[in-house]
Amino acid sequence: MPTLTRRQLLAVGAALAAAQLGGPRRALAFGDDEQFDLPLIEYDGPWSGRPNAVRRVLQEVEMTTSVLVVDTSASLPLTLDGLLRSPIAVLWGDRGFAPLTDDARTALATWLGAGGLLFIDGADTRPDGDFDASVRRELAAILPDAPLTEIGRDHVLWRTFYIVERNPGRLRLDAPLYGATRDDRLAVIYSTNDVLGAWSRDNLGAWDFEVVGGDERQRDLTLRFGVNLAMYALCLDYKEDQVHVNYLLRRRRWTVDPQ
Amino acid sequence: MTGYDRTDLLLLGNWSHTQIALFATLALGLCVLTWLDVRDLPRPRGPILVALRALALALALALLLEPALEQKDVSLVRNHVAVLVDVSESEALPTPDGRTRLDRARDAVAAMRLSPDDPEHEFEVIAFDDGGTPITPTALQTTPAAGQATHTLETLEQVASRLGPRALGGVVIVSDGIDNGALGSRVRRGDPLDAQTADALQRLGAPVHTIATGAADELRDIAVTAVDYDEFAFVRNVVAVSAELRVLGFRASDGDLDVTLSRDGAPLQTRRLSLVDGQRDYRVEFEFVPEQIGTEVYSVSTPVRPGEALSANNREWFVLRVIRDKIRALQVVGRPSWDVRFLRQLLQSNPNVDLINFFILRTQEDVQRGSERDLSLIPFPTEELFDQQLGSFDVVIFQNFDYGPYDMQRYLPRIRDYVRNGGGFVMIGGDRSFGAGGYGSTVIADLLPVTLPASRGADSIDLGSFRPTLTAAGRRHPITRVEFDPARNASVWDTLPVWNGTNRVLGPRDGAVVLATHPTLRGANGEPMPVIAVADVERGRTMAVTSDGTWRWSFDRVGRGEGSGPYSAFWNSAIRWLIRDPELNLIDVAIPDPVVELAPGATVDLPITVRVFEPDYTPAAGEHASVTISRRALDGADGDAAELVQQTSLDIDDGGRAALRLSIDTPGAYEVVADAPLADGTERRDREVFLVLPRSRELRDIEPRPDLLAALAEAGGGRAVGPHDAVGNLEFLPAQVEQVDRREVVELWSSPWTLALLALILGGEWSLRRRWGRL
Repeated sequence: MPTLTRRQLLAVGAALAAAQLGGPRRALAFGDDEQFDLPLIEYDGPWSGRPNAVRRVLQEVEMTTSVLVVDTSASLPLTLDGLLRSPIAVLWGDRGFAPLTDDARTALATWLGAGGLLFIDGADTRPDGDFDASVRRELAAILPDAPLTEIGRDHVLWRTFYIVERNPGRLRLDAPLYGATRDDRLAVIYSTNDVLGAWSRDNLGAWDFEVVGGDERQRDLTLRFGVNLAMYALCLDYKEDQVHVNYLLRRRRWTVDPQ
Repeated sequence: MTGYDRTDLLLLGNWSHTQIALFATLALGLCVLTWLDVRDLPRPRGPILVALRALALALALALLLEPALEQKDVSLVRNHVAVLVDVSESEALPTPDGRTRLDRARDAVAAMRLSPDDPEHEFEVIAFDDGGTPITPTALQTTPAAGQATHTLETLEQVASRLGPRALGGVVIVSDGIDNGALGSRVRRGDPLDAQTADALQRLGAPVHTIATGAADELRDIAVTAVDYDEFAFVRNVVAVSAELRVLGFRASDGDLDVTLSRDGAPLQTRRLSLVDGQRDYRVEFEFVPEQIGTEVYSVSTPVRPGEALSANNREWFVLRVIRDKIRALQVVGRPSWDVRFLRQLLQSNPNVDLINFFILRTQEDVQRGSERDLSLIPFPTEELFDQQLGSFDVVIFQNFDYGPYDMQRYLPRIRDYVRNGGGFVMIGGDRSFGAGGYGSTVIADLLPVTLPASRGADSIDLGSFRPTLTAAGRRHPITRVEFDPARNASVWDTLPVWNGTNRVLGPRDGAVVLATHPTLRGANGEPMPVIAVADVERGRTMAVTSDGTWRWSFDRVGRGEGSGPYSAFWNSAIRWLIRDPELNLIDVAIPDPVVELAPGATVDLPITVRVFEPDYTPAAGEHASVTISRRALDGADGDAAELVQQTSLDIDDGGRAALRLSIDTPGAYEVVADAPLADGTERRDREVFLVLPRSRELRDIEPRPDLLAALAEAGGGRAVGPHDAVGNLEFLPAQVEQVDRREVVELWSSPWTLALLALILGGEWSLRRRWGRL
């Protein structure tokens, strides 16, 4: 039985309080298929190493935003039918994995083309370790025309809901985040910093994994990033122009200036 | 040889100058040889023999050249003097002395004393406008100034071409100097004469005199000389129109000048101009925002003041086509969802849509982590969107949005008015929409094509999955006809991904068209519950989609390789229908061109086509459309009643079409209104307007240009006579071409005495040579 630290105890309290504040608000919501999920992709590798992460971040999304989330997150088999259950999916791993089958690659490519968003989270001890090599190998095959590039600080992903000023994850501070763009949107977001590890919390509210240096601010920031990720999936670059509504209205000269 | 005016020596021998020189050289050489032969003879024997030989050779050379005398009577041919008299319409304008400019021209021609008996010049009077016609000076007295153009240079070239090689003694141009042909376009007011025109005048080789029939400083007139505008304007965008005015003969003390922009005969804006002494050209700017798409007739005008030379140029007409640059869509979202994301993505990718989103990302119920500074959120700008800017949108989308938490109650009547005034409104389902959003007891319920329960309730949503069933109207309606082929369309709808849940509604409202229904749920009337329905609400349109599942039509279908066609076709058509895209109107009047030019005395046949459809877009075959055509006079005042031109009832054919041909012989601003009310009395009406303008632009500029005439005279080497100057004596080239009336040629070489003389000389030389021992 693990021992709770004072910080963990406070976190449990905060979570319980937050859960109470959130309350049941979904009585009239349409079915689960229309609601937000962050399902893990089942592949031939350690895909389920952070089983408590998604539930925790979905709770955060529901608690702090107007987005409706699923009651229970369900992982997706790496088939086209499986992927088409959700326009967003998470591929997690902490080591290299065998090359995906052609069918799996085709399914992923088709799903991304249909509007899917793949969040890849690596928990390898080295950012350029075997998992990274496997990911880059697969993306080169799936999205040959969309190379991974570092997501700059000016990208809307950092302000879709929270203003997130540091890159997320628990292994390293400020490890870069990569993305592949398709149809003017990020189709792939790739972290090598175990973002899910920072989200992961057990049923008692204790964090499953330490954040580097015990920096709980980094964990909080990573949770906020999770909310931003959900918002980006659902709203894309809405924030890009939303903050400029007044400017847009005037720039378009829909009114005559008073004389 | 008496009785001839002139005698000339001719050489009839057909020898060239070279040959003649050769013969002369040969003769000279023979003379030299003779001298060498006889030089030892004592004098004067040698020179005598040489002289005789030279004489004989000279005589032989003369015989070779065949000299003759040409005797003739000659007389001078009169050269041509063209007197071009401007008889265009501007010459009919009055001058301060009460006479017209043409009267002055007639006086000037009379003062020239053109005599048919002039020994050197043959005068020809040519009346010209866009071309020249020779007339007698007498006929000029009664020729009216009615020409619809003034083409001075073109007429001059026409005269020169007609004369051909005949000599031109001079040209006299009698005109007010206003030219709307090549000359006027090349030489703007204040510009020097261009080199091309100067060269053309100099090539005539004869003096060009000008006589001005008008002076600029004697004209009193206010004219709208030009209106600058873009042929296309964008609805709900600022349109700039600028007018140029020329004010002549009026001073600041005559008072300010009102310039009015009018639309369809109703004043839109008036600008007041303060006249400045010495300033003649003014520019007035107008700005306005057209609220409707379509073609409208506009004019810029100034009131006619006493003493103006012309009133017709106080108003300038033009047609403005107001089009939609982009569809302005406002998407208001109660909570982010996949349905929201895919619709936003679709609208954003449509280059014809200008999208403004507002998404409610969190509510007061949501927990706030961190401070406000940590959040990238702004307050919901309800006042900005629903009070100040609502009218600027073509369509407003409420997607799973409930008005309650945002103090929106007070803006709902504005949304109702926005729709009634022509806006489009669509509500898309979700747990915050329709009855679940509490709209049942609001004015929004009056807009929607479906009726709602009065209060929210747990039964306001059904979570069962279903596939919408197209109604008969849905199979034809442009929104739900995602495939052109009806059978294929039905097949697509049968295989579309299902919707997971729907808002429950009571049924369609009166006048609504239900496009798709729920396969199992029933409305309050027991009929299948509508899930997609549309309605006309006065000038606006509304639409209801009771589920949030259309995004599956894109995501699932693209994922399965079937393409997003139905999704994009459905929503793009919906937007076009909501904004009353003219191509989706139930009635449409079409004319080929909004501006028709009418030549004086001519008639134009204009085809007018009317298309009429039922609300479900089947052709309104067998019905009738009433067509009313009216006209407002171009020189009328704002507010003048339109005159009824024609009213008729047309039979609509099986294709939904009807046509008529309108015979037009009068300029004016025309309006065509087609009415075909629906059986329930709902208006089905469309209108088109067009301008019929006189083809002539002669009176657009009536200010005389004596300076241009003076420049022509200077370049042409002639004299410029002002409108108040005496014509005096105009100089022309003297006649230079001669005509031979009688002629006789006397050959000198063919006389027998010539041969006898030659024989005598040669015989004498032979005799002397023999005597002097030189044979």
